[in-house]
Amino acid sequence: MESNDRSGGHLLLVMRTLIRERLEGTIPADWILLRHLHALTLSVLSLQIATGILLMVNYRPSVTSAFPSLVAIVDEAYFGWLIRSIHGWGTHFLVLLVFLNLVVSYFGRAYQGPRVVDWTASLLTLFCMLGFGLTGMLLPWSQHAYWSSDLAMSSVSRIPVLGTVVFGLIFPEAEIGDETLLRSYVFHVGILPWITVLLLGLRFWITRRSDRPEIGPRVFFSDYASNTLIASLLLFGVIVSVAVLAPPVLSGPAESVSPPPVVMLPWYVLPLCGLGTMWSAGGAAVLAFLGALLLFAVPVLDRAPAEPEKKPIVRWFLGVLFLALCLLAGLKGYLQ
Amino acid sequence: MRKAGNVARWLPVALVAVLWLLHGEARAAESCLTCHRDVKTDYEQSAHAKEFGCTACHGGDPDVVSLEAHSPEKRYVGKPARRAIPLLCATCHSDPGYMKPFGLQTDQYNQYEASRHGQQLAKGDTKVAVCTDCHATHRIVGRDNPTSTVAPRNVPETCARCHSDKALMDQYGLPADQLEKFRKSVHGIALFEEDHPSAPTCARCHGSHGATAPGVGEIGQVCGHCHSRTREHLNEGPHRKAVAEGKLAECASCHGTHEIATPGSRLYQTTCEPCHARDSTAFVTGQKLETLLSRSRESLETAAGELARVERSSPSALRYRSRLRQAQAYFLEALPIQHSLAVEKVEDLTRSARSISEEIRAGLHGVDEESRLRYLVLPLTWFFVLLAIAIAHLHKQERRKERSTNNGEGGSA
Repeated sequence: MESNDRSGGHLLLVMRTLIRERLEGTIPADWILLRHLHALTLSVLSLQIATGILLMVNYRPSVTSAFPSLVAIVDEAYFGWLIRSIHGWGTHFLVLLVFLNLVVSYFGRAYQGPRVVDWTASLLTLFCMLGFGLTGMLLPWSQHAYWSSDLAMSSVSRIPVLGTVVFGLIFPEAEIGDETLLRSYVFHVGILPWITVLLLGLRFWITRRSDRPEIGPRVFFSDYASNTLIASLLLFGVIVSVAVLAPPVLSGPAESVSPPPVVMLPWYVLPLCGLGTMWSAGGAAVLAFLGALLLFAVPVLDRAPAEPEKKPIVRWFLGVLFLALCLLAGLKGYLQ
Repeated sequence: MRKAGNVARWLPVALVAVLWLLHGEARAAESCLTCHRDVKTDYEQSAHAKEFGCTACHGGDPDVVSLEAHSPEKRYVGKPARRAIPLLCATCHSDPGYMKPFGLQTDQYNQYEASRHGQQLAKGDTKVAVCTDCHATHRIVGRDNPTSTVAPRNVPETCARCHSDKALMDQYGLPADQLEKFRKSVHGIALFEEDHPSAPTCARCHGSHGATAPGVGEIGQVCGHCHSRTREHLNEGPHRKAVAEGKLAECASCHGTHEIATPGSRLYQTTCEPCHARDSTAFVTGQKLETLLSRSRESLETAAGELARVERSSPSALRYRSRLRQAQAYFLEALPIQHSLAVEKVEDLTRSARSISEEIRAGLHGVDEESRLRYLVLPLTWFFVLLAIAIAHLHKQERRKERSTNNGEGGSA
């Protein structure tokens, strides 16, 4: 008994020493903003996983019981309304964080050398987030959920090759029904979370590997961890505030024969819709697909030595142009 | 076996013959259109272009590309006389064998003969509408085509081409303001503004080929095609007797004909008085019905408005949606029953609608209170968040101080 206590105490001491050692260690001072964004993404993802698991307790993925189970979550479950609202708003923040991550990486050229894996993983994470949004959209089985999924899926199906594959996987029936709902659910809770966690893990590992301990200024890990914790707490406060002040409206149960007068898609799908209004739907999908390919090819296209950069203005111009086009297409989609 | 072989041998010949005939028909149309280019587009867009050449209606010889094609020997008819048009169309359109593959009815000519248009034409009046006035001459397309003159949305304008012509209508003693009135009516708004697929057009009440004005005793029958429950209840009530005696033009007496407005309690104020004195029992009954219905409507509208408001901020208000539908169903049930003037029945239904509306409002008040409590989450969350931030910040400062002390000691050592 005594030896058990001793060994338990010893283990605690070892852990304490290890944590202390880590906290007292240092990390490179470059890409600190990117590191913070990584950590924030992980915090919000944890929040999403936690609220998602709580929602799974009461949610039933079938055409007949999905909507009533959601009403029960919102109406009867203890703080169900808040958990559902946080989960809904969390998606928006998660997409925004991954997007910001990419913007910072691009303008800081954080895609060269070993960070090329980080860039690719970030892009894949963004697609995972869009996948989360797309599959999660249908789950409430409300009027809004049904018709916005219908619209989003018909846009996705127009993307060559990839769109047809995604469409076939999630959308096995001619009309959205039980099978589609179940598949969306499986992707949302059983496949995409693992891929996202793996990608984030890969990014953390790559970041650690690419640290060069002997070169450049360094900051204390404890300072970095405290700052990240403060930022995560602030973001948590903001998400809860938004969730309390603007909980998602639960329009009536899905009716496949009577579309609502207005179908509103989430902001991160709006650029694609905007493109659809400017060109033909098929053309817009091809353009979006080419845009995504171009993003993946950024590290290959810019293989100039890290310093000094010869023509930073061209890279900045292209970056700003891409963002402006996204914004313009998004605005167009919103007005539509 | 040999027989089958013979048939097989003749098959290509038969095929060539059929192709030749079809080619000939196409050639027929083309040869007329060489000169008559002004009708080419209209003809090519028409439903007849797939099956008929010009000669089907106009006669003549399509093989001759000159004025000789127009000779009487070639059975050339030219522009058919207005009086002959219905019978000309009927040669095909009254033939069941011919019309069956197209799923078209064959009684149009019979109906037309019985219509006011047909009767006048038989008397030699060629100013009345014949087939081509409504269906166009060369560009004849089915009613499913939205650009067709007989597509439901275009029917009122098609009829109005003659019926809004005051000079023409004066000759028959008919008004010429029907389209104007119809546009403002509840039916016109449903058709033109709301694009309602089952909104009635002129043809729904007057008939299409058998177009005629419904008589005083028939109005209820005509309206009752769609408003069947209303007609049943009207027949149960005391107004039935007045209709039988010819004192009342059924629905039209209160609702009008072409100008039918959205029915509301206003009607009780304006339509009872011409027949009933203000102090009569009948007038008081009308006022009672009006009060019951308008109070119930107000109550429902308030509940619906509040539900829409509370739903935006609090999803749990959703449980009252089905209750509201129930209340609306009671109210909607009372609407046709009011025509029987059965005050008790209407009172029962409107009372149910009103009490459910009140219950919804009380429930929503509770939800409102509850949702206000939800805002308490905000200060609580921020209190803990700020507390945790303060602890993290203090910890950071402490560790910095510790490090600088260690560095100082290290430095001095």
